[in-house]
Amino acid sequence: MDKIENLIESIKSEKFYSGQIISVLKLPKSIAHYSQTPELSPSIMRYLKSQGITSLYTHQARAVSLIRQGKNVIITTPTASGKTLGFNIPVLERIEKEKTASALYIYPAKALSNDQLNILNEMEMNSGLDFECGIYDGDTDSQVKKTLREKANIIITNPYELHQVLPYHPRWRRFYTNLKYVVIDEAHRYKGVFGSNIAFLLRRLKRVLKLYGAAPQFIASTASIANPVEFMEKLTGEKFEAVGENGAPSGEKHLALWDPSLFPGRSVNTQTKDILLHSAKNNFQTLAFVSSRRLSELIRKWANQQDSSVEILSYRAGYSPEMRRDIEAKLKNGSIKGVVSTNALELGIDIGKLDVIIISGYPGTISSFWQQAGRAGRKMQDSAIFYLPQEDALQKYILKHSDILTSQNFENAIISLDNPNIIAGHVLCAISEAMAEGTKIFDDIETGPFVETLISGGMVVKTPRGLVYSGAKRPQDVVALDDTGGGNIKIKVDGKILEEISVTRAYDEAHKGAVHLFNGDTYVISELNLDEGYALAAKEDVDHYTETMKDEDVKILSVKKTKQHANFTLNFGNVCVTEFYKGYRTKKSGKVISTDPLALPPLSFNTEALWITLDGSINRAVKKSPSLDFDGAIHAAEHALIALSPLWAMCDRNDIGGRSYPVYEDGNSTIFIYDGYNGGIGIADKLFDIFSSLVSNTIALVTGCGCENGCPYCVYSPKCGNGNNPIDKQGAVVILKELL
Amino acid sequence: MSALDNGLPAVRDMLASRFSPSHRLFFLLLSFFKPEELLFVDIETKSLFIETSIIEIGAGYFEGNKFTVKQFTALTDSSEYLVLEEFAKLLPGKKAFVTFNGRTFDIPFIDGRMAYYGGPDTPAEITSMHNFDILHFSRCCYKREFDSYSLKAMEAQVLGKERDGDIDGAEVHIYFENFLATQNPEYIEPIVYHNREDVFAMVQIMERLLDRWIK
Repeated sequence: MDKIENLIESIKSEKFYSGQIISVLKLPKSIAHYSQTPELSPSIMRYLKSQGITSLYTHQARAVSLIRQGKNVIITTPTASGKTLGFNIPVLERIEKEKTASALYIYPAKALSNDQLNILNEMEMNSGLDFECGIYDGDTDSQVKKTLREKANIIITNPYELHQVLPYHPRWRRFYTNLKYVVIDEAHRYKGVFGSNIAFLLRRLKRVLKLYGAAPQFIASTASIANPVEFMEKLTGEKFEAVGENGAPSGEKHLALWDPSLFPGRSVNTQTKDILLHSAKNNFQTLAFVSSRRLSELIRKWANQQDSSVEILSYRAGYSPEMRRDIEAKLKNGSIKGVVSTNALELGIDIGKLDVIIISGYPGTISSFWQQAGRAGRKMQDSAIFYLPQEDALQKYILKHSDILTSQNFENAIISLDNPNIIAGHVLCAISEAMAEGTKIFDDIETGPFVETLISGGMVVKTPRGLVYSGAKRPQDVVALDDTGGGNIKIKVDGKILEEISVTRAYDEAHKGAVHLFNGDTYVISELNLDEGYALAAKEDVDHYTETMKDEDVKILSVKKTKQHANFTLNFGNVCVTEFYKGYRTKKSGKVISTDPLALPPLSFNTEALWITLDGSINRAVKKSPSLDFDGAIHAAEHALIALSPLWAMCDRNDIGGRSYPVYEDGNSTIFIYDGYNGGIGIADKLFDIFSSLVSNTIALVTGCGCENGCPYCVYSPKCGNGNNPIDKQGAVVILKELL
Repeated sequence: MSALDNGLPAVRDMLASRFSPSHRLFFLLLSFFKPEELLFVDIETKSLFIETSIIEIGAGYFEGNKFTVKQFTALTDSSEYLVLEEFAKLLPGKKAFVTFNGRTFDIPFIDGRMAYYGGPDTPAEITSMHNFDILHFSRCCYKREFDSYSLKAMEAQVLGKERDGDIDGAEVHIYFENFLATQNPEYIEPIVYHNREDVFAMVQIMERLLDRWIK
């Protein structure tokens, strides 16, 4: 028995163990696949030699070759497989040949920018190449910014900064004129609302680059997703080729599936601490991923209190860069045995590989799961991954159906190019950045009606030369990259504006009594004034959070797609959702500690929805059995369908809303599943396409759950405005089976 | 001094490696230019942000002993481009700008607005043209003598001149908004007057700097 198997066996004799390991799956090791290394310049060879690299892995060589051919490339190999090298080589080669060539690297997070800068500096030092690079973001000194614009070959920035600096393109004249590559690393982060905004930001960038005669190649890397090419083509409006076959080696991995509910009374978090401490004490370097910053602190505290002989640290956003660098270095050199981290360490930060990874709480997507699990496995050595689900239908479903994980059926990364609010904001930004000759602002998007609206609103003016922005303010300040609508509510702390959010978000996060999260800090809202457009907040360190309770009403506006089935019709189209906010719950560690009423006017928004119109025969099938309640059944079926939707559409349960009607206004029983964002974000559209798979998995979820009448692991929704009442689990099974 | 043989750029680079751009020696580079080669520029804008448009450009130049100020006002969004075109016509033969905070604001702003329209074709990138920024020289020359170095403050402190009935630079956009709302030219006149006085003040302050630093 090898060491990792010993570790798993030794856990079984501990006091905290009562049979929670329901199975251990062995994921076989894979050997390295090298490729005939393409011809590289002596300086690049010098760098590779300094790193002990004699050949490139197959995926790296293929990336180099495709990029050299001028293709736009998306690299989708796992964490720590050397994606970065795959694109840095061709970029630096080009700079070596063409001293003036430049490249723009876009990173979603600051820590990653630092990492890339370190890598590039090291490449420069060890290759003998001479080029300029630096980070250009909100923290960069203005003199340094100027130097970078005037001299740098490579500028590393983030989308927020790019959004702000695009209008100042004349200052970037040299850099843009010579721009050969745009590198989008960790591209899977650009999904949903944020990603849809980034898609337009990149189109704005391309539009500005045209002024300088530049049409750079796009290079991207991403965690594993189902649709890399489709996703990147939507994100950038360019044709892409994918590099997916991983040539990097890995040792055998043991995936231990741990069911915390088998030790009643001991919380998931305590059990996480148990495994972490046991593993670290036995000299296995261990990293536990948890779902919140608070938990990362708490579990570390518990571990330290229980046993001070082994040092356990926590890692999360909000720590100073120095602290984070220190922990990263300690992980890399092996001097620290245990770390509890949020998903901040899931991203491609270089910390080397570890012996044991604990995934405490499903990170939301299969892709993220393997990003986290990918941290395990030092140099072909065996490693272990423990998966502990939190109390949630999807999380438990995955524990019981681990083939979802092992078959690596990754989700689709979804963005929308059709959201009218997002388009309108970016069209306005674009026109403020460069005059438009006609109403077609972006090559592949219909923008005419939006421009016409802006003209009639006086924001854009027709002049003999073209369409010109006429406002007296910066539209970039109003268009938020992580929202679908303009910010209309200013959150103020001590008279200063903390941030501006949409009314929809304000209803959820900035009502009186709400706990609002910003940049890792908690703020408690004391007043929301919708007429004046502000909310007053005070910074308070609280350990509870709030959730609104609402009823919804859905009206169909238009039908875009329809599929007729034997006893139901599946539809996709536009709907208007009206939400009635009834109150809010205050929760602590998942438990409700109080419920308070809210007095807010109802809120309506137009979005996209999938709806299932049930034939009368389904209703009769349920009613055949006197013990079943149709109203509860349709409600339970809606909850379960929504719970598993994130398996296809890379999104959070909170990104989707639902409403079931035993009798809808047309007289039919109907279940609606809609995008929770003004204008829609493409989730319901994707669900329409994969509906039958969604239904069969949902049946497996509900029938496979051991409970009798429904529980949070199957048909209870944590978001339900009616407290999961009425709910009929067995009736839901009857309905779902009819939908197959 | 070998750098002198290579002309202005070499001298400038040499100075830049040793002194701050507000140093007296940079001011002395004026001797490289004939008065006719200088263009005094001041602009009025809708806001401080380059996404918004220019309302007025004032440009002054010497022809022998005569000093002329030309002003171009964009009364509509359509005419901003024409204003930029007219301004560009003044550039041939000019080798340096004289501005007040124009290295940071006026010239990059004009450059930005020209780029916004994808032109007009200017003889050279105007941001790389030499720029004598009177604000920086004023701060250096009268170091620790004044509390404020704004153009109006300098005018009062150095020239002993108070403008009669002038508006504040920060009020320009309010007057312009009033003009847009009413189309009443009475709201434009104060902007034009303010801009013209700014250009004149730059010339006079420059003369004082010359007196103090050279003569």
